[in-house]
Amino acid sequence: MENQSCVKIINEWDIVAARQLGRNVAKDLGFGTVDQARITTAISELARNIYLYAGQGQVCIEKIYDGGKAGLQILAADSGPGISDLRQVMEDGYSTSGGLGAGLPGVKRLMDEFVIDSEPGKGTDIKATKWLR
Amino acid sequence: MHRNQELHTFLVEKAKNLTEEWYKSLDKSDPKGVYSSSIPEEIQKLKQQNYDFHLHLCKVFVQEEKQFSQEFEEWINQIAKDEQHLNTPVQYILREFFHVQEQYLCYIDEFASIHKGKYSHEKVQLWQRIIIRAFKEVILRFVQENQIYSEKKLLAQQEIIMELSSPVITINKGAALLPLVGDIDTTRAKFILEHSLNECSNKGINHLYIDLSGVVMIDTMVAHQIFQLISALKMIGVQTTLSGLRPEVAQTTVQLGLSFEEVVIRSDLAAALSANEIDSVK
Ligand SMILES: Nc1ncnc2c1ncn2[C@@H]1O[C@H](COP(=O)(O)OP(=O)(O)OP(=O)(O)O)[C@@H](O)[C@H]1O
Ligand SMILES: [Mg+2]
Repeated sequence: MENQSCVKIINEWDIVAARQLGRNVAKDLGFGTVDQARITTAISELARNIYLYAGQGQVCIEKIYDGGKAGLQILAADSGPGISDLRQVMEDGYSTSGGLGAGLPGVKRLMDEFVIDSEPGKGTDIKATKWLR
Repeated sequence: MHRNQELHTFLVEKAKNLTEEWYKSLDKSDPKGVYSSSIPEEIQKLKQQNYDFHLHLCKVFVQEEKQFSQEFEEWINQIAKDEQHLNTPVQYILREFFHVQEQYLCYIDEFASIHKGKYSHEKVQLWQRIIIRAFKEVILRFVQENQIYSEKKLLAQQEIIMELSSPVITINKGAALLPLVGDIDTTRAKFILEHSLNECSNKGINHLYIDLSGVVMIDTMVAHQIFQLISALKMIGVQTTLSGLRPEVAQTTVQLGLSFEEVVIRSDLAAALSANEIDSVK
């Protein structure tokens, strides 16, 4: 599993660690500075959401290849409370914590692909991908 | 009954010896810490601390348990917050506790052989168990105190780093600069908010320039904290100008949907400062 590395999110320091891991993998794949910033920011959002709403979970960064193209995939997984209304959390400005509510919709715009899978009481899995052009 | 005046007297008389022997047999090659110090004052202090320890410990054979513990407390606290001991790895300190414990066990043997026939084997064994128990208690309490002081020290150091990493620098009458650098987490963001509010009001600042050229990533949390800082500053009459947003950071914040519309932004610090000069001339 050399193409995948994970960071367990347990305390706030781990958010920084996940971010750094993502930046390194992005650099390694040859992403430019803007995409590096997009990827790091997306990881930061997902990791912080895990820390804030699920207590703990993990963020994995994977190098993926599809045909001729390479990309970076972020997998954020937790076994927290889950999300009951997926449409609502994807709206700009919706927050249950007094935040800006820009995290999830922002990640969707920052990345090329975004899939969210959540079940109340079971947890949340988010997969976000950026392709190298 | 384990109490014995004769044994106590014997040990007190040996206390100076115990200290000298102990110091002589110390392995002084520790890479750091109090035991390998070559500064005469520090060595003298260390010996005195060791000697005081003996005076306390011997009392286990004459004092009530409660009083014994109470009187020991002061010694334990002193060693735990002693700068030299705080700079000594705890495994070395534990090693020396056990080293001294060994000395005591030997001296009890010596006491028993001087008074051959007077004290039963059981009695001697009981004394040795008492010594081991007393050491256990002292060591546990020492480690606990040491931990508390080390944590306090660490917190104080973190506080210093925090302060150094969010300096509010006065540039001219009423204007100051806050250069932000590196990763900002919630703890740091909260500190920056409080610290710069205080500094601005203490220094009579009415315009704060926040330079972000050293910030490599702004996520929603950091943005939220910056917005809060700006509105809190506004409430105490301080106007804010942001500058130095890196191009890649600017792009991601736009995609995150963050609006900096109500914030004054300049491309770099020089532009921010000269823009204000023009404003004040008008
Ligand atoms: N992993 C998760 N588990 C459970 N609920 C979540 C999770 N992630 C997000 N949510 C819910 O979705 C809402 C929207 O998340 P989003 O990241 O978009 O905004 P926010 O975290 O509230 O604020 P911001 O990210 O702008 O600081 C959250 O307020 C929270 O209720
Ligand atoms: Mg969020």
